[in-house]
Amino acid sequence: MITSLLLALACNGGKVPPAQAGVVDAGLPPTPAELLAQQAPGAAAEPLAPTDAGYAVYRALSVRDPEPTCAEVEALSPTPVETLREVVDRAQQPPWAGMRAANCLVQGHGAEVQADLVAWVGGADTRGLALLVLDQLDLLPEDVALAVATAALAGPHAADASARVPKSRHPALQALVP
Amino acid sequence: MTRLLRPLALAALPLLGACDLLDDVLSEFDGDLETRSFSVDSSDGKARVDVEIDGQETFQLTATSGQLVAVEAIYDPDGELVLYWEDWYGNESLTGAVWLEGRDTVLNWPVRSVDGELSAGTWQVEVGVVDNEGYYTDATVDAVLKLKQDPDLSDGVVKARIVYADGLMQDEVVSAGVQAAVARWEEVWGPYGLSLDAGYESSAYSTDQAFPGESGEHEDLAQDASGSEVTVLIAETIDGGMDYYGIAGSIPGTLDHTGRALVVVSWLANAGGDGSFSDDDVRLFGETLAHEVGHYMGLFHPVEMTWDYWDALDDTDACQGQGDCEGGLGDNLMFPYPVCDWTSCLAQDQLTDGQTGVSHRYTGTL
Repeated sequence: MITSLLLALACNGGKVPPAQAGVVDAGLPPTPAELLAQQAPGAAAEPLAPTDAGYAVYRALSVRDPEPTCAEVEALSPTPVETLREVVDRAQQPPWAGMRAANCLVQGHGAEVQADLVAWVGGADTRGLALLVLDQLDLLPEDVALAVATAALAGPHAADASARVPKSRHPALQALVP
Repeated sequence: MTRLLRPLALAALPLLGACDLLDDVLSEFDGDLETRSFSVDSSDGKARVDVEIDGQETFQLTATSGQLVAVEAIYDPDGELVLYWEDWYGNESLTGAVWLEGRDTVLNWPVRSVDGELSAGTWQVEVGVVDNEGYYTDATVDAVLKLKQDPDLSDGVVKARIVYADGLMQDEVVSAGVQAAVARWEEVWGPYGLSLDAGYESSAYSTDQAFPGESGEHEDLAQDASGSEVTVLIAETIDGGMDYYGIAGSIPGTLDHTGRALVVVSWLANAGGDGSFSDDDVRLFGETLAHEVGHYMGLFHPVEMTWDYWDALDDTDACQGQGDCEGGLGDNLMFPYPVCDWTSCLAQDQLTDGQTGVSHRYTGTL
């Protein structure tokens, strides 16, 4: 599907869509919050007022397909690590927005966010983030991976960690699970 | 980038005569679905696959070769050209069958009501065979035809085979979340005459899954599917991370046993950072399942995020620009992303008549 889409995008034949008859409202389009309010009046929770960069990154990470790359996303913020943290910590829906932000932190900034990773694998209510990290230990610098794995094996997700840490290519990590 | 190649320079090669059928046609019946399997040799880069129609409503052709293949044309029994690849290579998408994606291609016909009904007689599908350099070449093309006899194109059942990767079925969070999401999927489809017949299986397949067709596991998985099932593989991660949380093998997806005969979904990406499924997560996960399987049944996004590519349907708004499109199509099941505001997302459960028609014309909708 992704390649299909790329093919479609790469092969623009130059056709123009039909004009929309009867469109007279030249005002601003509804915002997502307005659309949600229309759907369920009074039910929409108050947004957590993201920063501009946070909202831009959040929007990019919310896409179903095609998926954005971390490089594309990080280019939307002058301080990408901080912005990605903001999305991980504060964006509630869709669930993959925060997970993709966390993924970019793991894959590109492991050493810088070591404390975050240790917190995720040790948090009772962050099992999803813990699994994300534990599934990608080999993308981290070895010393970071060792610290994270050690914390995970001592935390609330020790069972998940015990199944994943031995799969690491690093002998030091494999040795953590006899 | 070889997948972008189109042999335009050689398109004027002379066309030769009728197809060269290598083998006898093997025919099997399973309720309203007939399967015919045979092989055809291409001539001057084109394999001509004959489709005998006698009362069937739709057919699906899966053509597989050692070379790159794509559908170039369809001719009705009167010899009239009803589809030509170049007409659907611009900024409207009708079928992925015309794209050179790999060594198999999948065509479901007809796609829309305006494509007409299948008249009795011999239809012919012309399949282009192209080498890695983008030039026509000759090779044997294995054809698997599925033909649907079911005359009711307003009420149909889709069989979904939901397969958990290694250990995930035993994870209560995952299995409960998936089953709740499937219930949402059924809820989304119900008003459009689409019923879901879902079965669940455990497996030993890797929890980190490749793209459809890029793992030997996918071919193994396909071998166990029945002829009318859509396989949905529940993985933990796709391609080693969170970039992908759901991906369909092709648009449309095959009912044959190829390596792209599946939809892969990441439960973890759909559960989010807490690793559990809230009510909102379940709703969105169910819509994601319906969305990805919608691709498999032939539905494109009504508009792509560049706002200048659309599907081929007349009743999905040809909107232009983010605000216009979110306002007009934000609640459509096939919109390319959920419309959210950090804390919640708009329900996306609407299908137009045209999209519903495509779904019912999918040969696996019985």
